[in-house]
Amino acid sequence: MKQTLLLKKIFLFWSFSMLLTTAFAQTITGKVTDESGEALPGVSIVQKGTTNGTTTNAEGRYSLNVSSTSVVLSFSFIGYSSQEQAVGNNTTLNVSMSPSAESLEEVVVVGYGTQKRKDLTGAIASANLEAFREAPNVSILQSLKGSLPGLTIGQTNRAGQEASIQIRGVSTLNGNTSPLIIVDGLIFNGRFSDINPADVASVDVLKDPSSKAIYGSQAANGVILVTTKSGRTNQKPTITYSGSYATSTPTIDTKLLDREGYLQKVRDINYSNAYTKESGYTQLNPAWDFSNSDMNPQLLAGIPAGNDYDWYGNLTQPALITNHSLGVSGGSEKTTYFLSAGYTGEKGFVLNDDYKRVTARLNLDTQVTNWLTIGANTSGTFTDFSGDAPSVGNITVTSPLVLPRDEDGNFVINPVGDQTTNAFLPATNDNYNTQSRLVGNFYGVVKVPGVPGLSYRANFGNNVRFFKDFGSSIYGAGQTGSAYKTNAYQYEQTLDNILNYTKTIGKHNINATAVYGYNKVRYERTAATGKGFSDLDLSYNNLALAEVQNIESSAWKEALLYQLVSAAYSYEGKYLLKATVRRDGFSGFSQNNKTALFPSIGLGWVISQEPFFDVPGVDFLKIRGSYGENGNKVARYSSLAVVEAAEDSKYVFGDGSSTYIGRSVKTLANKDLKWERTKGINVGLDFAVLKNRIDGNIEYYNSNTFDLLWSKVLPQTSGFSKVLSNLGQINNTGFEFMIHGQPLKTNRFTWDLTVNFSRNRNKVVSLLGEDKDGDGKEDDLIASGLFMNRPIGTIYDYQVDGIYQLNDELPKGFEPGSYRVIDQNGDGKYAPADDRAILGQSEPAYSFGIQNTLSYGQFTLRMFVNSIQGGKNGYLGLNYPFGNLDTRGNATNSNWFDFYDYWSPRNPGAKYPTPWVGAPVGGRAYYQRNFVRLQDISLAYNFDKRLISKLKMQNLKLFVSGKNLLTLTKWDGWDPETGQGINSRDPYPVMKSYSFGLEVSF
Amino acid sequence: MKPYISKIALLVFVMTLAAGCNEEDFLNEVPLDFYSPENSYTTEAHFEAALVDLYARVRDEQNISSNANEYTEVVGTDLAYNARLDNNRLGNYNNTITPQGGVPRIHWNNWYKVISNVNAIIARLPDSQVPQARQAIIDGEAKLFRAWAYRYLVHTYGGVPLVLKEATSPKSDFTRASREEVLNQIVKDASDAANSLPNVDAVIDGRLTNAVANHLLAETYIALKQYDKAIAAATEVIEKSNLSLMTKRFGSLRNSSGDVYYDLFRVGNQNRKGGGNTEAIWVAQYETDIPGGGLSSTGSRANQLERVVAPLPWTLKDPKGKLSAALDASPASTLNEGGRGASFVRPTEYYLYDIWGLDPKVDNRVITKADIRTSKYNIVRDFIYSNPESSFFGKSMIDFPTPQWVSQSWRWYPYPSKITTPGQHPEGVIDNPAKLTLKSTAGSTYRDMYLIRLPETLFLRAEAYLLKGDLEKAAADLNVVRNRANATPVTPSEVTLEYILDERARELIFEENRRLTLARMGKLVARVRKYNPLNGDDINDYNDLFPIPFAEIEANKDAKLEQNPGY
Repeated sequence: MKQTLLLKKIFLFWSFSMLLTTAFAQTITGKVTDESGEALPGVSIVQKGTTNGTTTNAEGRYSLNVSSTSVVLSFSFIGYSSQEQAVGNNTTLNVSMSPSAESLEEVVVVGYGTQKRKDLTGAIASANLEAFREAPNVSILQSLKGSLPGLTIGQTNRAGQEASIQIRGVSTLNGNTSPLIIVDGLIFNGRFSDINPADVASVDVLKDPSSKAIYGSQAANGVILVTTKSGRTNQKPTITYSGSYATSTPTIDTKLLDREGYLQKVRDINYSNAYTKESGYTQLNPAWDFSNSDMNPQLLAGIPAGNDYDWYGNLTQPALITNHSLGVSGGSEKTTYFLSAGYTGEKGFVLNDDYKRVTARLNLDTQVTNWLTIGANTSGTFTDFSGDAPSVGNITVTSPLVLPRDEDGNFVINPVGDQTTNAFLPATNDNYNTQSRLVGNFYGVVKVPGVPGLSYRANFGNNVRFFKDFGSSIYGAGQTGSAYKTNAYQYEQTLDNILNYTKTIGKHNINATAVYGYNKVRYERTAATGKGFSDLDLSYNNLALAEVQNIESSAWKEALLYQLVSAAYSYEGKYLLKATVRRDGFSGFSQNNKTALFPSIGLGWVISQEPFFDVPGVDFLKIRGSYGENGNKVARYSSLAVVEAAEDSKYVFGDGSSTYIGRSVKTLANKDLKWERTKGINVGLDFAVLKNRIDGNIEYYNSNTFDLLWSKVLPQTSGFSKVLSNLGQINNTGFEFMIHGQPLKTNRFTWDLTVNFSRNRNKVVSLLGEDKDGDGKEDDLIASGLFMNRPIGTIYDYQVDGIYQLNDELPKGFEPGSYRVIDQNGDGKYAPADDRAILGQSEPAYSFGIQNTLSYGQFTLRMFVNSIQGGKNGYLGLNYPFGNLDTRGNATNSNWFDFYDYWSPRNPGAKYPTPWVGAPVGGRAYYQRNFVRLQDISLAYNFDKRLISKLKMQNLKLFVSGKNLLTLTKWDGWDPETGQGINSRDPYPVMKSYSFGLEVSF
Repeated sequence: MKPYISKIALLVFVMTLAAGCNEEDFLNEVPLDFYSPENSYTTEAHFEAALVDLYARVRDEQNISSNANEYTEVVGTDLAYNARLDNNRLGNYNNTITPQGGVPRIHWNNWYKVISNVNAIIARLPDSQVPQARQAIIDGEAKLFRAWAYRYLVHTYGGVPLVLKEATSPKSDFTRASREEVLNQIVKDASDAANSLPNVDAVIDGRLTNAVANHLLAETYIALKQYDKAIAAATEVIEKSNLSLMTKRFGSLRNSSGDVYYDLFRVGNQNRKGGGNTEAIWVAQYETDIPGGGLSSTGSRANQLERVVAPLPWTLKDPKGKLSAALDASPASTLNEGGRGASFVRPTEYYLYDIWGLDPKVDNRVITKADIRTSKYNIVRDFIYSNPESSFFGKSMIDFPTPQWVSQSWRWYPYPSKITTPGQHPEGVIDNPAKLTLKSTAGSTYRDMYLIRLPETLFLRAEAYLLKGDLEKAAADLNVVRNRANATPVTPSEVTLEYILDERARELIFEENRRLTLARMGKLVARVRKYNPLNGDDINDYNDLFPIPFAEIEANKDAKLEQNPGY
């Protein structure tokens, strides 16, 4: 967006200079230096409005022939503010460049336009993408993680996995919680990782209600605006290549129980027989051996055979990530372009959990006539998930006493002897799984002649996605062979008509925008499955060869229609006002509530510009406040009653007869279902002090969400478990700040520090508005886990207090090794109505991120620390040995990881209980997930400009980086941030990685 | 300037036209891959589809295993208990039959969904395009499902909320009706069904008939202590519905060794039309590998009676401890091995010995009783080592017990053969066709399952006669069944409720909902204490009824749903 502004300036100067042009020729020479007076090689110098240009040499000197005295030269260099100098009668032009863009001068994308940061009235955060360029990030989301206050990006632990995103906490119960993503001005549905991080020029996040109101109905969860790179006019072609290579291993070092650990576990499960009672179950009972346990014969056979197979070790590997990006950008007088290609290959931690992505992009902008500009942002993303990975659950349960292959080298199908299949089998499957996306966004801008400042823009966006998932397995369908093909297709179309008027009258600045547009999506899917093949030589390509054939298909469509009027006004750049009204209609709402209005207003006052303002050391101070309303859509078809012809409703009468299709009412209709509506204020302060050495902002917000979309729990006596409805009110308040400063700055050494902090509190203000129990207070909705004046994530459950020991007096139904559940009302019974208590909440109290950038000469060291803290009883997560341990037999025959510290008479002080003993109430313990993580660290070396300019390079950088190298937490198990504890059900570890790479541009 | 302005005006106009379509049409929501109630209850085919769903639901309810703690309609009663003697699978009433437990909740939810779907049919039928004559039949069929659901609910939970209207808006103010009110509603619905539904000969296999309605009426009238009406309803079934007990060998294995009782449970032999079975009254239909058939030859989680009840002799070593007791250490589709069991639930000694007059302490491998229901085909009382490489090949495990079995009796115990389908497993689960060994994916019982069989109607009439004081006729009805089994006839003076329960056990184990029968008669707790070695100590007086699921009480926020006493 900076470029567009520049483009306008260039255009102005060009027009001006054209008037004065006379035939003339002279040579201009000069030297370009940086802010400390050092020569700057590689600076690009272009005669404005032409392709005539050159670059500075190793000494920072240049020489250029120009055609007239009216010529303006443009000096540009990456990382520095561009400058323009009129030649006039000079033959020497020395220029001192300064590092680019103080944050306040930045241009921010605000939706259907841009604004200077200093003119904003709302809370908009812009990401510092540069800080994470060296991290091995497959998705731009990973570069945003922890670095912006109020933006929470979830942790990922699978190859190509899309992280969850949350802006300023949760303001909804059942509504959609993901923010709206806008790429180059158009709604983007789907995976963030479809965007090549190398193509992204800027990411802006709209957080406050007034900024979000521009996107009305879809904005309640925040808006993320992504702008991709473009070329600049009169820029000579720049080719940039960057590549990196990363290797990663789990952040925690854990192993499945080995043979000895496994056998000890079996003894412990059967302690009452395997050990002698007289010894208090600490001395082995010589009369007992493993054949007296529930062990399957396959496992028993593994004991004398001496088997000790490391299933986990053999099915996992260090993950590898390879990244290559190539970009070309440039521009002539009227046309700019950016062309890029990228490749990312990720070889996952679990065998075959692979991911490959190829991206290509062309952004083009050309001025056709002096009143018409057209352009396109087009891209293609081709993602390949092919290859079946074993279910980690299968690996986990498999005992070290059995081997994957028999004596003949063939895979054993059910090595453990139960229905668990060999975890190696999926790797033998033929699998093809791809997702492709083609984006073609086209625009035209018309400057309305005769009306200066009035322009019309049309955006026409087309987004096509193809999903293909094909597979075949000779071991599928009980080894009779299975194969399937699933094809899906999604087409999305957006049309925006944008009318913009900009006018400056004296000290008054007006910028008004009107938008009329729509977005519609259509999806269809066809799937066919075959079971029972005589052979699978043709894999999934001829499903008709299957004995049992099954077909299914599905489809949906949805539509959004909107109108917007917005006006920004500023007086002397001191007093700022922005007002917006948006009207939205969405097909997913009930017939009577399809549309709604979303107004907003924002005010700003730049105090530091007032003549009376004279505070020494304060360079900039602005107060701003805003109010806005946003909506949250509901999933399509939510208001309709659904009658479903489900698989479960089919039946067959008689022997050898065919299928009868059954239908069942699945959901109740809600004819009044409407928008969930959030209204809120934001108050912010922007400042820069000590000659801009320190700058930052502070935000406070308070919003209320009404008519919450909520799946009301119904007694199933009604035949329905829930119904989607609107009710209640939730309040979100929060406080955020971001402070950036340079504690140290010398010629050679700079230390740049950014700290961000955010705290969000939500609470339920109102639910049904009923007081049925007559206590004078509005009732909680216990069945839905909602409590008045408590956070949404309130945990209401049994409280546990240690583990029952051998000699304890046990209440009915409990056994030693089960949790001691607190009998809250002391009646000797355990009932959900009486014995549960509020234990805390799942929401954290606050989070913070600290970014350090240290530069010394050509070296840059960056370090980013991220933390989420629960405060008192917050950020709680259930940590329990979920998995295949519900019965003694299953626990005996399953394996588990060595971090599960289970109870036994040998280990009475264990932290975790033994689920196989059963208990009348499922009391389970919650623990805090607090952590501090060294999320990113990198060291880059920028080669000396003088040196590389001899190689005709503009820039050459080598870097090494590390991700998730250190995590401090008390949480046991996989990772506090993913919330995965000691369970073995689906344990994909978070990875730590090391990478190295280079970036070069010509 | 003018041409520009007109060009631009044109452009704006075109754009606006493109976007500015009719808003109402643009935002109208049309479901593409599902139906709505408005367009789903108009034609006869629609109502037929709604009824088909109910059959599927009743079948699902019949075969719930893992989510409902493995056939709690039998396990934890006088007939069977958790073989592993641990705390799960109803190993202890105090941690399974609780308001927060899954067992009471899953059945409650399933049956009330049936009721809800029935109510939608009944409510929308009068305004549909279905011809009047057909309406009566559809109405009767739907009502019989509702009666069948309330039968389960009333006997299992006591008086439950009576929901008789279609739910079109959320409701959370249910209150319990009395047991009598629920029973009377069953009578009402079943009577309508008895009047409108066709006879067994007029329907396709698996479909509801007037015989089902009358059978249910007989049972319900007994609960209402209206014995004459019960007898009349049962008589409709027994004498006027063209039903009769099978007395000769029949069906798919009639030429193999066995007896007629064995034939009743072989593959393909349950249906009247398809299997020539004249005593089946209502059969839950299963087909393998057909959509809607419920079973898959590639392994399915449905109807896992075999997996739950059959023992695990193939997991044992021979007495020398070196070689496996069974061929290839694999389960086999034979009577000897019982299919692919998992030894979760084993029959009590009461079933295996007491009711046949046997002494559990002696060798019961060779039964001299004439009653065919305890023949070697119908209760497998021995395991023969089947590994040819073992020196014990062909020998009995009872003569040569392996130490492993001595210490872990749950790995093998006698079992009724009706839980499995020896020699008749589908190809897809067979590992080696020559050896009949099975894959791990086996475990389902691959046949149709009886919901009601004529002997049960005879037992109901016998019960009504007994309670009315007519012991002669009670004995006569029991003897119809006993005679077919070649058992010694019972004398009128021997007939008691306990005797009828014994006879039901002999004839109907793993067919009837034993828990329901015992609860209906008020005998659950006493008989569990008397005959169940595991649960005898932990069952409480109040466990004769299930608790109302706590989730229901909690969600029913606009009225109080009273909990059953004791919970």
